[in-house]
Parts: sequence; C-alpha cells; structure tokens
Amino acid sequence: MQRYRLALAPLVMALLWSSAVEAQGGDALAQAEAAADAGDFERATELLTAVTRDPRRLSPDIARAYTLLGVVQATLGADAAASTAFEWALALDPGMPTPPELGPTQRDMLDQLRRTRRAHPLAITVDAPADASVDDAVVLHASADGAPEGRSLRVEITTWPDDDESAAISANGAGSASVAIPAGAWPAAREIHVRVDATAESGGPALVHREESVRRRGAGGGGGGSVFEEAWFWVVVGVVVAGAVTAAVVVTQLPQGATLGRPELIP
Amino acid sequence: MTAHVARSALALFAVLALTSCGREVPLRIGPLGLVMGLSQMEVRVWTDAACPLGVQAAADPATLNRVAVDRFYAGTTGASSVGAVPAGAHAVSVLARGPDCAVILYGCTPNVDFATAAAVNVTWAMVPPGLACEAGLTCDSGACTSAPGADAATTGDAG
Repeated sequence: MQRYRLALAPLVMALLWSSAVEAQGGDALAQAEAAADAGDFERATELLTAVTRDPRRLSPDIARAYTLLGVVQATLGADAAASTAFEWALALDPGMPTPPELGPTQRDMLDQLRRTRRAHPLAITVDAPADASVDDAVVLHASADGAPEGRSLRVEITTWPDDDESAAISANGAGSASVAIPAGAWPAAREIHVRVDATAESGGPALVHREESVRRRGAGGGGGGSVFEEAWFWVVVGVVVAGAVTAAVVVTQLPQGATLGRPELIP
Repeated sequence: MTAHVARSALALFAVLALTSCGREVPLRIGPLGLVMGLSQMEVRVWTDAACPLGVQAAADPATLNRVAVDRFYAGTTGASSVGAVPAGAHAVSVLARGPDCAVILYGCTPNVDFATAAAVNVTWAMVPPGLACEAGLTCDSGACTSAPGADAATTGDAG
C-alpha cells in the first residue's frame, strides 16, 4: 500500500500544479468578475486589461475580457472606453451576446457597434504573388483592417522557405507591414510560407491571422518535380524530340551503304 | 535534366547512324575445287548493276572508270575486307590469275543490292587460256603492273 502511495505521489503533484497554473491564468477573468461584483472597478479594469495583453491567451478569452471591460467602463460612465472595448469584443466574436448589465443607452450603442462591425470585420489582406522565380525579388505586403474607431492593428508578417524554417524573416508595422525577399535568396526552396498576425496596437495575442504561400519557379536542389512544371523545359523537350525524329527520318531515307567483306572461298 | 535529354537524343541519333551504315556483307567465292596455282585475285565492285561483257572487259584497265571498288589480293584469300561500297545495286566480279598473269578463273554476280544483300556469292569458272596482262601492263610475280618491279602492295593486299 505504501508503495502505491509513493507511485501516485508524482501524479497528484502534477494535478495540483496544473490546477494552480489554470487558477493563476483563468482566474484572472474570474477574479476580475469578482472584483467588478464587489464594486472594485479599478482592480477589475486592471485585471481585464492584463488579460487582453497576455499573448498566451486564446481569442475567446480575449473577447470575454473585452466584453467585461466594456461593461465595467460603461458602469463607470466611460462610454468612449466602453465603446472601444465592445468594438474589440465584437471584432473577435461578432456574435457576442449583449451583456444584461447594460442600460438602454449602452445597449443601443452596442447594437450600433454590432451593425458597424458587420460591415467592417477584422480582416487581413495579403499582397503576394502566387508564384515567383528564384531569380526575382519578391515583395510581400500585408495589411489589417477592421480595428475599432481610432485604433489600429499591429501587423506582423513572417516569411520562411519550406526547406529552412530557421531562415525566417519578419517585419511589423501599424496597420501594414512588408517584407522583401532578395532575388536569388533561398534557391532550394520550392515554396515560401507567409504568416501574418494582427494584434491590438498595444500588443497581446494575435486577434486574427492568415497564412499564404508563394510557389517558387526554378528552385534547384533535389532534382525532379518542379522542373516539369516549367514551360521552357517542355519546349526544350519538344525541340529535342522533333530533332531526333527528323534525324531518324533523314537517316532512314538515306541510301544504305555497306562494306563488302573479305573474300572467303567456299566449296 | 535538359542535358540528360539532349544526351539521350544524341545517343539515339548515333545508334540510328551506326545501324544504318557500315554493315559488312560477306563475299563468298567458289567453287573452291578450281583453285590451283593462283597467285593473284582481283575483286571489283562495278558502278553498274550489270556485269562487264566478258572476262576481257572485266580485266581491261580501260573500264576502270566503271569500277567503284578495285581490290587486289596476293593469293586466293583476303586478310581484310574489300571495302566500303556505295549505296545502290552493283555487279561484283572476281578474277584470278596464275603466276604468269594469265587469267584462270573469272566470275561475276550482277545486281547486288548492298542495302538488303545478306551475302555476295560469286561463282567463278575456268577461262580459256590466252588472256594475260592487258596492253601496257607487264607481269611481275603474277601481278599485272604498269611498270616492271612496281609494288603491287600499294594497291593490293598481302593476305
């Protein structure tokens, strides 16, 4: 029995540790709700703002935090801050329910925001060629739209060759970002991956992201594959085959000569 | 990859070229039983498909403009081939001389198409005595030459 207790000890410790971690993160939302319920709106705002800036958070958590933040700000009478928070919440979760704590004026404001948000959803636009030659420089441009009124999104664009993820290059900017891949770079890559993340201006997790790829023409290394997709290759093959057939026809049409062998006496 | 395709095409062309040229056609002469005391054999491939009109015409130097290939052998066997033959149909003649240069055996096979012939068979026969070297030629060790002591090896075969 003692032996079983010893064997279970690490498992129990692991469960306790994971619960503690969950309580520490999840419960910033629960703690914020509790603080708001207790009338400590300053503490609630502080906790909720921290959640919206936590890069480890997933979108549903962030949307929930913005909703609560909007409610808290509305309760404080800070309608502009409440509007911004609700806009972020709607950007992440267009179908978010209307919080019951809101008064009629704030409900109208939220409904108006919801209509506006439907017309301008959070979106990323990537300007990248579908394919590009190894010998050509490639410029990748990305922009993000749909940020709440008066705010902007920070766009981070990252690109890397399919044969070497460690060679990734990236750039970021407010509203848009561009990356230029020089001609001749990553000559062995058959595909260039592109990932674009848009975060709130103040940072935090990606609110929306998009992935694209650029096919490489004339990529070397490893033989076979992409060269068969090149038009010039089939032109060369056509010319060579036509030449060989012509030569064969000409040769077979030529008079057939021979060599008369050495004399051999027969009975 | 392109280089590989080009090399393949070149190889194909080379194979075609080789298989269409240089085919060796055996020359068979007989019957063997008639061979006695022969010292020289002359093999001629004529530009025409028709054989010369008689052994005298076949041995006449004046007809050499009608000969595509002229090959001399010392003895009755050849160590090397007669040689390359132009495309088309030709007559092939064989003439053998004795030590005094008199023609002893002669045979001719007309209309040999070297493009299709599997072999050239020449049947020779005894020639009535009397025909030796033609006018202007002298007999030197069984070979008709243009001057005494001329080296037959320059136009012939030791074999």
